[in-house]
Amino acid sequence: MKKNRIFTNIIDQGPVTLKAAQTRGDWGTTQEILSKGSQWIQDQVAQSDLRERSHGGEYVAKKWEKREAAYIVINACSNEPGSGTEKYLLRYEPHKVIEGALLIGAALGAHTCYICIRGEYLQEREILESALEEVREKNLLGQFQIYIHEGAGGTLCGEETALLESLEGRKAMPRVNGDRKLYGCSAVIHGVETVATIPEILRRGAPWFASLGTLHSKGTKLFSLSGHVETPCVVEEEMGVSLKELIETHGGGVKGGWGFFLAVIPGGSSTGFLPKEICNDLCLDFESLERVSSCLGTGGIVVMDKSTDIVRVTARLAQFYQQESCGKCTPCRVGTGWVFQLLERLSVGQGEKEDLDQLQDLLQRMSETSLCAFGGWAAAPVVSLLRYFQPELEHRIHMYNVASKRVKV
Amino acid sequence: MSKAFTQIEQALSKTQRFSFTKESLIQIEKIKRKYPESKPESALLEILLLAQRQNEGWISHPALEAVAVGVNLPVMKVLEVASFYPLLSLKPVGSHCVRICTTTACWLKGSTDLGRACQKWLGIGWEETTVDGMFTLKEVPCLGDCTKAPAVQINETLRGNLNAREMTHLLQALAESVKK
Ligand code: FES
Repeated sequence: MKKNRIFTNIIDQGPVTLKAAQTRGDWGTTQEILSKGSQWIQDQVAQSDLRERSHGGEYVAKKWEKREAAYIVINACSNEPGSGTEKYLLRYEPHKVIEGALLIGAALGAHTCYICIRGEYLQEREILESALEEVREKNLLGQFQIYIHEGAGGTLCGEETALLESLEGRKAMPRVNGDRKLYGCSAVIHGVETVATIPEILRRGAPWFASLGTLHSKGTKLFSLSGHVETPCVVEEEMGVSLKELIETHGGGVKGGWGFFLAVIPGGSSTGFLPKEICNDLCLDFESLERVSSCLGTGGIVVMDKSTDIVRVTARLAQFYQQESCGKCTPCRVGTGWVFQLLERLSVGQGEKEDLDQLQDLLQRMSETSLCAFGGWAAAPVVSLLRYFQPELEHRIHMYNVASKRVKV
Repeated sequence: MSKAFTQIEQALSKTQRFSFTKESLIQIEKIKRKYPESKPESALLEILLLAQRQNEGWISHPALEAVAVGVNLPVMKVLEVASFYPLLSLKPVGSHCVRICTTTACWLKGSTDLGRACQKWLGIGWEETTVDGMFTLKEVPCLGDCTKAPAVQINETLRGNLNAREMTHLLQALAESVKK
């Protein structure tokens, strides 16, 4: 099983010193790879069909289209509920992250890399810092510079231009022109997991990576299982693994058994809910999730059993998005607030059926007209609530009206 | 009366005055070196965090001014950034900052109970500080340890898998350790 795993130390949770990492195979053939030149690295990554391991799952080769960049920015800023994979990577595989950064830098001819890490991740920052220190001492980086940028984080930093703004010392707000430049120079932004996967691809070769997974989602991916499972954990599995299998073999099953399963968030809150009917035979890869109009996101799976008040969960999420919205554009700033208020009322059934239509309308506007992707992320859980749990909402409204004696049973 | 007054004044001026310590100044130089020379603003966030750590967990106005001098920006610009990020606090906080994650994964595992237990035991609401200035209670989004839900960060350490009883014990232990 371990043979095809990239992040073995997440299973073992052993020491993270340079020596320990080297025995696991990190930094082994880095010089060799570097000597093969940037073109070779780019070709290998293109052949492996590696996709970004967060949000949309963009092809990395497509991100590298321009074939060069001055800066590499690594995003470890997200605080999207449910995504615990990032922290595990920083904690147990810091050397893979650093090595990956170096290799990407070499491939694109960059001179500097910034790893943006949330201010809350103090321990992880220290681990990364000492790992960097060791690497610098051994002079493994050469001319390439890697710095840790301690940011104050926020979901919005998942939006690339907002992350760059924050790195430039301003408020993390998306840019109107969508321009992805750092200090006026070209920059490429990657998630932590994508970066950490690259050294292994180059070591074992693109064909190995491409042999794993499904047609459009190659390789393995980290999944974090949390919520109502017996043993919450972070595991690495091949793409295309079935959700049920993942929950049963690694998560110890749903609390109260599969029959008691209500819904799941497949990859961080911005991917919305999927009810049991869909989950029975759902595979976890980009294309399967796209088919049910969700997405793989960060791989943060949150499982909910039947004891969950799904409307309240959504209301809490709506509140979270309201607080996180940067407030730059109106649809998102005002929309998130309205959605939260509406849901707060609806969670006790206080409302009319028309409110649901209004909510739908509002969500559509939010996801279509806001400046960056954040509006869509904020709308996603509520959209899925309306899609799959409308009867529940209507039932609540009915019950409330009965209780307040406005309609007869 | 006048004695009490001077006492207050002294206390105020003590908390209000701010200058970076020698170590911090070295640190600031180090931070600035990470970014291109023409872009010292990039260091702003980290220096603000540094100032916050040095100033008992919050950024006072003099601290803002000191930071502004450090990065060569107008105070207003610094304030703009400082007021944007929830991690930075512009109000005094207690000596123990308790941050409870209340988003989905933790919410499902009973972070509401934790929050309630804390509020009851401390006698304060969210984002408030106890009268003795010992505890501040904060509601925060995902701390990245959803597998250990419910997650709580007390000062700089992260605790997971807590229930309401354990939480109050923890607070009790903290309060006692301060008294000693
Ligand atoms: S949701 Fe609480 S730590 Fe992630």
